[in-house]
Amino acid sequence: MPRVLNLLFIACFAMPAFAVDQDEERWDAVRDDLFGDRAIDKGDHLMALQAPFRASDAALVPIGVEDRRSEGDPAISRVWLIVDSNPVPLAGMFEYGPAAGSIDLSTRVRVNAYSHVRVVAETEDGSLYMVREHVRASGGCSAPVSADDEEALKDMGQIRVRAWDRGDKGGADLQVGIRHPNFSGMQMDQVTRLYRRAHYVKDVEVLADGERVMRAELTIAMSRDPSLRLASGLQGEQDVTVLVNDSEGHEFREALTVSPRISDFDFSAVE
Amino acid sequence: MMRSICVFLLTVGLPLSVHGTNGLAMEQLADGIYVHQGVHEDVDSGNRGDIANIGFVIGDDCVAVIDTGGSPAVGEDLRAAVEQRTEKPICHVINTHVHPDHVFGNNAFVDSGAEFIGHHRLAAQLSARGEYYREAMARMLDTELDENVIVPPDRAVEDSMELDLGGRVLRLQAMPTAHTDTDLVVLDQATGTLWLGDLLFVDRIPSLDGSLLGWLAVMDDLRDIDAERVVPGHGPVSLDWPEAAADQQRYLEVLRDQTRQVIDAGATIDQALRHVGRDERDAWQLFEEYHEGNVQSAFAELEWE
Repeated sequence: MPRVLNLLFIACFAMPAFAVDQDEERWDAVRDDLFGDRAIDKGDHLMALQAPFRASDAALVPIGVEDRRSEGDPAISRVWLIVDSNPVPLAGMFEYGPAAGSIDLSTRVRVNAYSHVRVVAETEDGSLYMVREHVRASGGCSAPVSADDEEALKDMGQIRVRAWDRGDKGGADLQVGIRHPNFSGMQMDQVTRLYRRAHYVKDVEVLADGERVMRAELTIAMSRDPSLRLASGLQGEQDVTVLVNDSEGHEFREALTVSPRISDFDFSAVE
Repeated sequence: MMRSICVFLLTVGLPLSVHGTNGLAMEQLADGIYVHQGVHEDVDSGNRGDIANIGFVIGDDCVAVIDTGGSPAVGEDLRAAVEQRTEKPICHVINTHVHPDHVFGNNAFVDSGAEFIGHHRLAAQLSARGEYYREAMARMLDTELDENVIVPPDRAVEDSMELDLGGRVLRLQAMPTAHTDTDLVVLDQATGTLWLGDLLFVDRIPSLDGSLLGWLAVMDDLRDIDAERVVPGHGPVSLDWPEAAADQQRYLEVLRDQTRQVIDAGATIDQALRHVGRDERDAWQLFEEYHEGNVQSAFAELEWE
């Protein structure tokens, strides 16, 4: 979404009460679709969902899953990220591999209307757990094609990986950026006034020293230039491979050796 | 706080003057040059979208209007302000960029026969964003806005253009992507008055909807213009140049440098939002409303450097 929309949606919108019920109805449908009649328990003891209460850019809403498990808690094999009121509610399914160091995950999604954002986690024994937050944002999927999109199209498939030492948590954070316009199919082209065909990153696989850290199946709900930050369980220098497929059958690949850096910036110093 | 005030206003249904009747306070900056200062608020029914600086220049033959305000009501008031001061026809309506607080008064000038002029990307941008803006503005103004509220330019400024108003010439320059990708500056050569549109914010926090690096580059070019005074898109209407840009320059540089710093240190966008530019908080009005959006834009732009 054009950043300009944040000019417009900053203040003054009270959330109508009925929207909450609508949200629940949508969730029931999504839940039925994805999980059938499987029970879903509260998951706050296993993970936390980080999402802004009010998004400053609905096309680029930062979402984080934070591992909250302690010893004795079950292993988690995959998580689903869901934005209830999006035209395609499932933003992505993220499956952790043997080289994953934790379920920590950060990414950026589009949010098309005030909505609950949910993460459902599946443990190794097949139980489901959920956490959710409410996000105020609007128009994230339908923002017109912008100059930034054209820029991303030009460099489409460029993959960038940076690695950061996770310190006491062990392993390394891998920051994976994929240059791609991720057209949602709902965005109007300014010149032709036609809707640009959906064209987005569908599958991403990240390996560390040949072992899978994560495999992700993504949808149009991911922001332009999809960004995944995930935790490798490997210490120190490692060979990282990123494999990407998009909805038009393009394949992109990057393989490089990274040495996780120790950040000298004190991110805890919040005023 | 902000939100609760807004909700209150919407709830009690403040009487709206959808039609311009109020009369706009106009400041005369120089011979034949009048500007109205918008308020430092977000658009709502109380301020009728009157949040941007808008004005006009009277030549010997005719008048050029520069930006028209955030609603048809404000546009009508501006037209009344012109007609109060001169009987000369309005020959041009110049839009400095695509944002609705600057162009949603256009419709009030359509039957004046004026020619609408904008950046060469303005027509495409209005066409793509117009409907979206219309819905959002109608909601914020709590009024109906029909399709005619969007008035595209009749004439595009490819690079530069001169408009002769009789006895004075306005020079228009289309800029590369900066605040938006439709920024146009206007120089009245007779008095050395330079309209910067939203390339310059004073007191109200700048909002980034184009390119941070582009904006800084454009400001470098504009700084060399020898102007008697500048008119910012938001803020006091007549200021010294280039001194008036000092605060904005600092803000944009802080945004650039600190965003680069946290990207280099491995920050997520979330962490960037909590760390970049917080020292600027007390320097700007509407900081909390717009700063995070700016950081996010800057982050998305600079992480691919």
